[in-house]
Amino acid sequence: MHPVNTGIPNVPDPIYFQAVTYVQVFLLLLIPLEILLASASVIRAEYDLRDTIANVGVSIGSIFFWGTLSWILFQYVMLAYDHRLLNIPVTWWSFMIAFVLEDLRYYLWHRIGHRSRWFWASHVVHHSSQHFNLSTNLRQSWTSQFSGLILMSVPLSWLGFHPALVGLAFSVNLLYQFWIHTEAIGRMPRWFEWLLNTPSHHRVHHASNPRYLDANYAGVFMIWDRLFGTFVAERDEEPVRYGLVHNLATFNPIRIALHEYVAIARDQLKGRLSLRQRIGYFFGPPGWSHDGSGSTTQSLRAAESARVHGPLIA
Amino acid sequence: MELVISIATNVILGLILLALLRWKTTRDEVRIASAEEALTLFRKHFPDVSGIATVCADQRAAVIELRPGPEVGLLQRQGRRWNAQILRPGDCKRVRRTADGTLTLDLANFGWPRAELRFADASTLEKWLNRFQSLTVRDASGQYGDSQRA
Repeated sequence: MHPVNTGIPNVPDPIYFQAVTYVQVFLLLLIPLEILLASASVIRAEYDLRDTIANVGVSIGSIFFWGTLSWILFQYVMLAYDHRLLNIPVTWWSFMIAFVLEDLRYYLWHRIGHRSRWFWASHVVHHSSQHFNLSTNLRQSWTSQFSGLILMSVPLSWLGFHPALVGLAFSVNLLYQFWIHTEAIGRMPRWFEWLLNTPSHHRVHHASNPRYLDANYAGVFMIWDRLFGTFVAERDEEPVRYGLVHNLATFNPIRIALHEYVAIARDQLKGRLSLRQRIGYFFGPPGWSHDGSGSTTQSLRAAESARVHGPLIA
Repeated sequence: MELVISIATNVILGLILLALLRWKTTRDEVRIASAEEALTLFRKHFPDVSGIATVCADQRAAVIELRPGPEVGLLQRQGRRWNAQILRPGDCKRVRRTADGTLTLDLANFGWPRAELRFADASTLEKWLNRFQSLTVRDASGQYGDSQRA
């Protein structure tokens, strides 16, 4: 990686961004390959026609909103870079550092996206399919630019990493995550499973089984989950059920993209709520309710535990 | 030029995908064989419930009279999966009966907006029509059912 004469000093060579585009196209071609191999029973993968069309439909919306609104992020990032703390050169080692820090940023972003309902309303889209295959990658949020978490992309540029370098690290991170959306691969070698995110770890992340909820937020390095106590291993004796605790019964991309916002709005319309309760419905954990009737991860695990071990008697 | 190549690739990809999926998907569809199976499937979502299930004529859905309380369980095919929800008073916005003997429910859940139920005979349809109409009115607390983590 070396600076080139692009008019802007000290930016990564555009060839790296071209490489990202080509890799992206190559990865998309793996989807029909997975279908083909699964149809011939060579690998394990399950596709449903309408589910996959919904994935493509949601993807079109996601690309549209990302494409038309990414200038918002660009403004924040450039403003931060203009007031940067350090002058970090664009080199291979600065890229490696940016990649690791960006992965940490992804972990934190992802964890908040699952633990607070307002942010979950945006991210839930990616988890709304009851299937788990390479086309699940296409089912992405339409509202990531609005949720506010986009501001988490700013600190690296403020620190002094060139925005293009951070953008490249972000792209490589997302490209890595493509191959982990599959049932075709069982387990990787033990060292690999320890260090990196794998299909096995990510199957757990997409599960709705109480045991597996809110786990494995990593993008690339599994080390963050191990470090912060959110790692859960896949168990052969408990097959993963993909999707949400209460699944959607629609393939309509608009409903898929916006359903949780509508649910939040409905909860806000409930009568006689205190301000604290209203905030709870916005930013509390998904499933939180003021009367305890909702299904949070905690309550689902407690109910599951009571079923398996019997109720706890004080 | 890269953009053109990328778009062309994705169009071709999409066509291949649709052809493959069409070929793959039409071969296996899930059906409910019995009332016991309907309850078993429903309990995968709501393990603690008990009730009496009625399987629809097309075996693509089932309704469950839950005990105790005014709730009704709804089990419906979603592609090759089964979705379940408990309908409480206020969760049904409208119930319609069509000429071909189908009961159409418009639900208050944005992520599960509609259900179409075909019953084996007129008396069963009439019974469930009345039952679902009783769920079009909210209860005294004015609350809808659990929609969180939908």
